[in-house]
Amino acid sequence: MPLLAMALLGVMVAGLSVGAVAIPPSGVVAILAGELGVSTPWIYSEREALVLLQLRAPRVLAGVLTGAALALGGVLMQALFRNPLADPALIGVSSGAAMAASGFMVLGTTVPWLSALPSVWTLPAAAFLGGLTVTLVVTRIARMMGETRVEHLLLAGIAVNALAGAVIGLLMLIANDAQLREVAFWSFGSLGRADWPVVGVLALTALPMLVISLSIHARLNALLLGESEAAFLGVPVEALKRGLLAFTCIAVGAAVAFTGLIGFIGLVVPHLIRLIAGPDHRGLIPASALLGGALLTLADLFARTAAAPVELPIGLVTALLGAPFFLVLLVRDRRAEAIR
Amino acid sequence: MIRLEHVSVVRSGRRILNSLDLTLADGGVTVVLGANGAGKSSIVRLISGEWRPDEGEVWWGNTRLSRMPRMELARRRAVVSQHHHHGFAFRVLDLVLLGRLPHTGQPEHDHLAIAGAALEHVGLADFADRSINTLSGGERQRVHLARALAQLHEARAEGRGLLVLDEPTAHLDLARQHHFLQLAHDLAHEGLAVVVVLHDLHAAADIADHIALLRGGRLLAYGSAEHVLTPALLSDAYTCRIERVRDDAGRLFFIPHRHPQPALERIQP
Repeated sequence: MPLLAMALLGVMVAGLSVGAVAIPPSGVVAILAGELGVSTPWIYSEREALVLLQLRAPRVLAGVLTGAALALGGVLMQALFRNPLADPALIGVSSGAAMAASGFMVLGTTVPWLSALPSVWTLPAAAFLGGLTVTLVVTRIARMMGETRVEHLLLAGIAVNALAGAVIGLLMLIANDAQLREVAFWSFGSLGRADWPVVGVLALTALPMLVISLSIHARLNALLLGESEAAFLGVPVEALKRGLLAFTCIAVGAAVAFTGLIGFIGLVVPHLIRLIAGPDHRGLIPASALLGGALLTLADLFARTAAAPVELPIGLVTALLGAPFFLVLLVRDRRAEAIR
Repeated sequence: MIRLEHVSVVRSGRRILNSLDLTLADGGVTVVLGANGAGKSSIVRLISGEWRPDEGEVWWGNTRLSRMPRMELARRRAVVSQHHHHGFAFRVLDLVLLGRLPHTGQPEHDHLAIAGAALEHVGLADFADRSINTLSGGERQRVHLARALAQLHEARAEGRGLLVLDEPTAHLDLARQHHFLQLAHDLAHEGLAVVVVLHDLHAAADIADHIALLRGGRLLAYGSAEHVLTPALLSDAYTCRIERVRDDAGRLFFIPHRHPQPALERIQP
């Protein structure tokens, strides 16, 4: 855990220091210390301070918070579905956000009062509401089949995800070239839109999620035994399930709304931590948040610098690097198990 | 201690339990027997508080089970079901510690001591740091028994704990079945009320202090093995002729008749 925290700190400093305007780590420390009123022997220029504080710091923090929210969403959904391969996207929050965002980008310009508002906020708001609505629809359908059974949730999620995909396809059919490009870039994900207010919103959703998840770590462990077993141990299972859905939907929904679709963090991060430290949520939750934050910041660093000045979409980076890495891990793990 | 009073359970329009009356003894092993669909699992779900009866009432002493606070119930009653395999590689000790979940506000080292003692009780003290996935089926089932013991630690000391075992030996071989049930039997004679659902008549005769024999959602007979496990009652319960043989040591053996083919009775909706 301390190792992970140090890794996150290291990646954050790297993220703050590397870019079109390179700022040495000593400069990063000096600027941050200067902001706090502490003077250091290192010197820095006004321009460096401006770039760091107005551009890079919110972007790095947004990366950390988004990565943590996605990873925690993965942890909670894997507990809910009792399946280490579950992902927050299963409940429709991502596809709902994507559908609403696409609709906004393609059809939003036809609504005069909507296009008069600043799209920096209306687009994320639409995406967030889309994610929320679709998740609600999924859980409602699942509950129509009786109590909230996770099998039903899964089935409803698959169907609604497919439906959202089809709607996005239809929207792309009627979009013009500029809108098409906009939709495509949004769905590949980017931290480029992050500023301080965005960081504020992400912090308001991700940090409570972290605190609450930590406070119910033992209940999450019990849930992994099965819903009946958890109830026998005094866990209010139905309320817990609804809470997990709500927190995931809100935190992941906010992350997706501001950054677009970023895959693999929610699936890979908890899986990695479990391989190393086991499934106990007491360690899994903070470790996943730290690793998720670090990995996404690292991925963003790569996305910004690998083909500079062109910025790669971060969703592509996480998938391109994450998927092969995950496959290698899976094969190694299964082989080790087979030998054992 | 636990009393089912005119209890009926209806699921999907079918009466699974039909106005059943049953008083479970305060101590010892009560075995619940019956053919598939006779209502054994429903009784487990009722007395564990998972289901509420559609008619009638389940009483724990003078308290309605449905009115008992969830946490209080969890401190007094533990359930071990037939299989628990999951994809998550918990450490054995962590699994046993889950039994301490209803007991909040105690120092961590107390929980650890209780969990350790529970593991020792089931003979798995050396397995505390192993991953559950590396254990055999019999060992896993004992780990879950240890979890239940950790859950009932205080209730056991006060002599008012209930341990419910729902076909706990379904996936175990003969020797491990015997070992597990022996553990349950010993616990029942150290102040824990144990209710076991079983299919194996021999195991039932071996460990039961009381037997509840069900048929079609009703209680067919209740009493000692000697009185309940008779050819007439068993043949009725299982709709198949069953012979009873006693060996020189007084042990009972049950032999189903191959001919004629058992007339498998359809359960009336």
